[in-house]
Formats: sequence, structure tokens, C-alpha cells
Amino acid sequence: MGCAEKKAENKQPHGIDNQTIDAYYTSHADFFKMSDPSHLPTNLIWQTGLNEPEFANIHAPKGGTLHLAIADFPRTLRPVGPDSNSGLRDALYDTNTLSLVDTHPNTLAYIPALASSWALGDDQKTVYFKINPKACYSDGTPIRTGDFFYNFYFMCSPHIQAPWYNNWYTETYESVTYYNDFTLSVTLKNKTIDPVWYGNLAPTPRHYYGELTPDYPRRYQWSFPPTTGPYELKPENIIKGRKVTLSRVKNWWAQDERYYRGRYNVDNITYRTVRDVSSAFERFKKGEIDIIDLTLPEYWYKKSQVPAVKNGFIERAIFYNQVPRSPAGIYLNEQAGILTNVNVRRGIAYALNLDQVIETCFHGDYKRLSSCAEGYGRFSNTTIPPTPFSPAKAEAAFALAGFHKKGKDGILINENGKRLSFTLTINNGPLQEMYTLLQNEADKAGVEIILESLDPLTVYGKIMSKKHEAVASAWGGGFSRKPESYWQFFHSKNALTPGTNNITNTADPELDVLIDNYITTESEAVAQSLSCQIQEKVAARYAYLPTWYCPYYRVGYWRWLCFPEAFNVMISDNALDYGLYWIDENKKTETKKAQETGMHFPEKIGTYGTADLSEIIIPNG
Amino acid sequence: MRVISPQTQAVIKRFRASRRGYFAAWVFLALVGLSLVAELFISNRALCVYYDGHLHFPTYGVELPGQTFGLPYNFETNYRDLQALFKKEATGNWVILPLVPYSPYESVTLKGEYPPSPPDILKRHFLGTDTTGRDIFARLVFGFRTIIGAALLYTLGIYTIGVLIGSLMGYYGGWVDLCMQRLIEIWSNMPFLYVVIIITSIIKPTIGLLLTILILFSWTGMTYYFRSATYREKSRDYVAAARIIGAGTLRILILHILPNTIATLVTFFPFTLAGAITALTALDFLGFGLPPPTPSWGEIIRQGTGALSAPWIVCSAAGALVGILTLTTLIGEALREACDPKAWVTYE
Repeated sequence: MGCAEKKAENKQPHGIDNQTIDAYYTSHADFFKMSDPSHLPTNLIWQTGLNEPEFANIHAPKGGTLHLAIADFPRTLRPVGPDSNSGLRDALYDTNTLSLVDTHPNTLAYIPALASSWALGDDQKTVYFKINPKACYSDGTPIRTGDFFYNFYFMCSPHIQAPWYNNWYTETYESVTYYNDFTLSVTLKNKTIDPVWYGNLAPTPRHYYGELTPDYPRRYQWSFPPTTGPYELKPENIIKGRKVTLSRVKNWWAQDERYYRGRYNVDNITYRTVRDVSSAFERFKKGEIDIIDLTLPEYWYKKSQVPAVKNGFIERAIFYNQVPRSPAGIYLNEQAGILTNVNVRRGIAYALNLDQVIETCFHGDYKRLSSCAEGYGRFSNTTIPPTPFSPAKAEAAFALAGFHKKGKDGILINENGKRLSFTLTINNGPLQEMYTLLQNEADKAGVEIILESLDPLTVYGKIMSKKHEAVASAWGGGFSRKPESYWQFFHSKNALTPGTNNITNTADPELDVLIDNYITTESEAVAQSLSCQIQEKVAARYAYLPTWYCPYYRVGYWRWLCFPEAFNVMISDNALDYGLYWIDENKKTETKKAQETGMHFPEKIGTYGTADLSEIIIPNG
Repeated sequence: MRVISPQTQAVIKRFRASRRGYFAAWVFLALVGLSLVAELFISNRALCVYYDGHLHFPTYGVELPGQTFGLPYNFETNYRDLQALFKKEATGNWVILPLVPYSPYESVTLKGEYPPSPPDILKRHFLGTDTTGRDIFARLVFGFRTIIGAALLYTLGIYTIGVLIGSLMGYYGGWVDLCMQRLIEIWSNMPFLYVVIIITSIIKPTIGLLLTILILFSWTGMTYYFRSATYREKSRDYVAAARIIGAGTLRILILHILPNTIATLVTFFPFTLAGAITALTALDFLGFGLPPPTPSWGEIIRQGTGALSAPWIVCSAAGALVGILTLTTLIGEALREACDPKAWVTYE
């Protein structure tokens, strides 16, 4: 490697001051509760989740190295704190951490992870877990209830400099209870539709961090803590600025467990920094990178027409996944100016030529989103059709709102001479041009859209202070099995309150009732029906105008990288999610030889996954 | 009536003698002139429509809905379709379209074709379309109109402020001069680009706002020249004479001193213009300039560098930029030669 000084120095973890941490627990005794197994409710129904099908190829060979590229070398390796949302975060933590339970990626049932069994309390707010005695960190230290206690100490500490985590852990949870080293319960502040999803915590290693001090961000800047996941990052495998190599944990405790067999097969995964996409693509063509994302139409249709693909050395795949879709769309502020009138909002919905944008900017490959919670199986209302582009219908709706005269420039005006015009706030960036298409087409319906493109942070500040008229937004966020966001997006409690996610300022008493019932109901069928009703109600308000989603991901990979028959699991976001792939060394030798001798293989494009969402049934917690 | 002074006549003569610069100046003026009436040859509105015995001239004026020409919709008529329809019907109605029948804002895509599409003379996309299917030639021309107007206003702005403050500094000298110089030094050390980036990310930029910021941070350069020129001129006899007969400060500065120092300004003019064009284009390129969908050269170059597989995008804008900068430089050189004081002033 040559540059020894660039290698990260192995910082010694902090000394462990058990007294301070224990004192913290004692001083927050109503949060950190101590109990014993005799106090466990007797009527608990313990779930083990062992009846779901396995989804990996359990015969997949182990070994080999997977070569990947990242655009920027992370500015820190810490899991939380300043700059920790790096491009490598997913690989190091998000997809490489076992929490108490996991979601089966095809049936969406809960399956065991660190916990071998779990149960839901009567109050719909408390979840009980029994930790698998085999579970341990990559350094061999066993995982015990104390690590989940410590998780709260860690995540609520001001020293980690992560206000979002501080807030989430203090606002979501009411208490955590110790029964013994292997049994704990987590109690939520509010009733929710899926308590296990919230109660599903990941441990933080107390033996590694110990007492936190203000120097946390600096001290752990380049260190990788003991992990519960299959890969670890050893200090000698970090070359700052250039490359990191993850290596498979020796004798990972879960490697022979059901649902974990046949996964995470490659020994090493290297991430090399390649600054721009086109040079990463060049390296991929040379075989220095094993797999690359081809989701963008330009790459899929044009740039991947290269000899290595035609000769079958590189294979391509398109996978139609079935993840809950991000509610991308245009959010109209129901309390702002002309937008208070539902007919104006309905007219705007008809005035958006979204199909043209999909055709022009996304090569016709994207799909129209039709509701605020699409991709949740039976929780999604599939009867709501996307609003078509229709200047005539738009004008009819505008006329109902009093805008029936056209001005000189074709924009409608009402009797008082008020123009039918609103400001749409968008993020400045490469996608802003597509909103200009919407703007031009909306002219045909007599509505003027004034585009205001601002820096993403400014946009966020503006919508959080509810000062916008309309905003184009796509919410990110983790996977959830059931729609979790009705309350924060559409409940009147969050309308007009700065800092909440109800950016449409929707305040509808009928909708409130539905949402409240949805959160508190214990029946799955009722919840599904309420969920569909909420979506219908939201659609009828025309405050959230859904735009589009990408129903698939597309990749190109060298043929020695192998995938199971189904390619990947239903809820995967990219080809490497869930670690089902393996490297076939024989195929690699064969391919290298073929490249030298001028032989070739048949070109291969695989289509996997299904596009039908109606068949998904989300099982009960 | 004021006749052109012999000195000015000499300058004009010298300028005309420089063939390159003189020719460049005419080309430049012609381009500016043409861009002012760009709607006549680049527009999605027809120049003239003959329908049922009536002539319509939609180019300037109110929007004519499709119903005006018997079409079933009441938003703006699509004149390209109308022309095709009239040809098919052959009922004596006709449409005359401009040379480029597209507006700079209009995204034209056909089913099964994905933008950007290469130059196509038959479709009258002379420079092709950009990544959202808008005609690049139309965007270049309208972008030119915006940028040249802005550059002229910018030049006027910084010259007015710079000349006035510079002349006052030179004329008064002493403490006024000293203090102003220090203030200018501090002001010109403010990082202009950061200020623009911060402001445009917080509020929606308009051309007026951008110009104001640009002017606020660029007038200082001019003061140095006018300070020294005025300093030199004010000790001359004609200034003393004017003062004796009771002329006020501003009158002396503007009517007596300025005509004798103006040559500097004239020679700087084309370069300032070029500087303004580059600065505005750079801001647009970085994404801190005019909001979309305003046509702008910087935006086209940015699109083009992101889509190098469509070379016509970046080539068009870069070519246009190089062309205009070359023209202004040629004019500037010729002006400098023509105004060179050493060639016609004798010092005693």
C-alpha cells in the first residue's frame, strides 16, 4: 500500500467509567426501569418468526472480493454525529447492523435477528424481546440487555452532536425495562400501528465507548465500533481518501442461523473513491469495478452499448422492486392565498402534465404515483387513479373558484382582477428543469406557476416555517411495513405548527378521526380499510399532488458476480441489498480467458421482480 | 447646435481605419438589433395567419386561444399544428411561421424520441434541442438579449458610480481621497462570489437583484483611473478659469474635466461589457444566476457539460460565448488604438 502515514491510526477507546453511566441510569429511573422475569406479563404471546421461507441461496460459495466505487471518501467513519451521513454509511452501518428483529424481505413478517423471540404487550405500546444468547459483537463480546440501555444513554447524549437522534430517542420512547441479561421491554410514548417497528432497537457497545465526553466526534472520527453485522472495517483496511475494505467477520455468530445462511458470501468488499460517475463507468468497463448502477436512462439505453456487454462479459438486469414509494409530489399549502380553495387545488392537479415530464425526462420509464402511501400492499388504496392532464377540466374547476376570465397573457383572473398564480418552491439542482415543463404546460390551463429554486437547506427552512405556497418535495426515510406518516403529514395537530411535517397545513376534522382510529386500532383489517380511506380523503383534498416513482433499479455487472434465481428480494433498493450475491471464481477465470482469446458469451439482460402490488399481504406484528 | 469636435472626428476616423474593429462593431450592433426583434424570427407564434377572410398577427399582443381559428381548445394556439391542418384542409387559409417556429421555453418532444435531439434543419432545430427538448438556437438568442441588456446596464451602473466617486476623490484630494481609498480597499476585499451564492440561495434571484449585486461589487475598479485622471486635470488652467467664473464642483467635474478624461472610459467599455457577460454566464453556470426557465448561456453550458454525449449543446453555447467575446475584444482594441492620446495630444 505504500503510504503508511495515510492509514488510520488505531485510537484506543475511552476508559469505561461504569459509575457515571450507572448514575445516569439511576437518575433517570422512570426511563431505565429495573425489574425481574417474575414481573413479565403472563399473557404474552411470544413470536419466533421461524416459519417464513428462506430467501438466500444456501449453497452459495463463500470467498472472493467485490470491488465497488464511492463518489466521495467519507469525512468520518462514526455512525452518528457531524458528517456521518456519508456515502459509505449504508454499507458500514445501515445495511450492516443487526437489530433485535428484522423484516422478511419477501413476506414482510418479522423474523428473528438479535432477539430470538418477541411479544407485544396489551397496551399496544410495549414490546418484549428475548435476546439470542449466541448473539455477540464482531470482537466476540456477547450482547446483553445493558447494550440496549446504553443505546439510549448514547443516543440522548449531547456529546454525539446529533440533534435528530437526541430528539427521536427522547420523543419516541417512554421507557426501557431490564428483566434479566437476555430479556427487555421497550415502551413507546404513543400508540402506533406497528409498535414492533419502533421497538426494534439496535445495541450500542458500552464496552467500546464507555462514558461519552465532549471529544466524542474527534476521538471516534476514524474508528469503526464493534458491529453486530456481517462485515467489519479493520483499521489496517482504511487508506484515507482512497479506499476502504470491509472484511467478513470471522465466525459471525449468525452465519448459520435461519434467514442468514447463504448471505454475505464475499470475503472482502472494497470501496475505492472515484470522483465522478463517468470515470466510475470507465473503470467498470475495464472490470476494475464489478457492478454499477444503470438506472439512469442515459446509461441504460446509450452508454452501456459497449462491446463487453455485447460479448456477454457484462450482464445487465432490471429488477422491479416493491418497496413503499417515497411520497414525491407537489405539496400545496391549504392555508395560503388562492390555494385555500379546494377547486383551485383540484384545477392545479389537472393542470400538471406529469406524463409529459415522465416521457421527456425519464424516458417514459417512471410511473405515475397515485396516492400518498403507495407500495404498502393492502394498506395502499389502488382505486385512486392518477389525475390526468386536462386543461378543460382544470378550467372548469378554476371557474368554480371564480376564475373564469382569461387575461391578456392567457392567465385566468377573477372578478377582483386577481391572477390565478402561485409560487412553487423547488430545490436548485439538475432536476429543476423538469419543473419548467410543468410550468409551461400549466399555462394552457390558465394557471401561472412561478418557480422559486432555492438551496435545499433554505427550502427545508421555508417549508418547516410554513411560509411556502407550494413545494415540490420527495420525502426520504427508512423502510416501514405500514404507512407511518399519516399523523405527521395530515393531522390537524401538526397544521400551521412550525417544524412539523404537515406542510400542506391540512386540518380536516374527519381526516383527524380516521388518522386517530388508524393509529389506535388493533385489527389489521380495520387498519387497512382506514388506511385506504385516509388516502382517498387526502386525494380528494388535492393538497398533496403525487408525481412519480421509479418502479425498478437497473444494474450492469461482470458475469462472475452471481445472484440467486429471483435476483433479489422484493423490498431491495439495489442489487447488493441483503447480501445475496456471491463471486464465482471459475467464471472469473473463464471470462478473463475469453477476453484474451476473443471468445464471447451470449448477451444477457435479465428482468426480475413483479410489478403487481395488490398481492402483498402485510402480516400482523 | 453642437458639432462634433475635431478631436472626436479624428477618433472616429482612426476607428474606421481599423477595419477589423470597425467590421466587428457593425456585426455586434446588428446582432443586438436583431435580438431586439427576435420574436420576428424565433417564436412559437405565427407571423401572420389568414383565417376565414381575416388576417391575424399574433407575434406581439395578446394570446390567441385555439378557438379563434376553429380549434377545440381555448389555450394558446399551436401554430405549427395549425399550419399543418390548413395545408391538409386546403381551404385557402394559411399560416406564415417564423424561421425558427419554437419558443425558448417550449419543450417539443415527439413520441418515441427522447431529448436531447441533434441539429435538424428540416425540423428547424438549427442547433438541436437541450435535455428537456427546448430549441437551443432560440434559447441562445433570447439568452443573448437578456445578457447584453444586463451587461449594458451593468456598464452604465459601474461607470456612473465609479466615475463620480473617482472624480470626487481626485478633485477634493486630501482626507476625502485618503478615507475613500481605504474604504474602497476594504470594500473590494469582500468575496463577491460568496455574497452572490449566499443571497441567491436564500431569496429567488431576479435579473435586477443580480445586477445590483454585481454593480455594488464592481464599481471600485473604475475609481482608480478617474481619481488619477481628475487629479491631473484639476491643476490645469481651464479648471482654474472655470472656478474663477464661479462654476460649482459638479459642473466643473462633469462639463469641464470629464470630457478630457472620458477617453479612458471609452476604451474600457467593450472589455467591461465582455467582463459582465462572462460574470453573468459564470453565475448561471454555477447555478446561482437567473432562475429557470430563463434562457441563459451559462445554463446551456452547464446542461451541456452534464450531457457530453450530446455535444451540440455545449458546442453551441461555448461557440456563441467565444464569438461574442471575440467581437467585443476586437472592438475594444480598435477603440483603444483610436483613443490613444499619445497619437494626437502634444504636451508642452
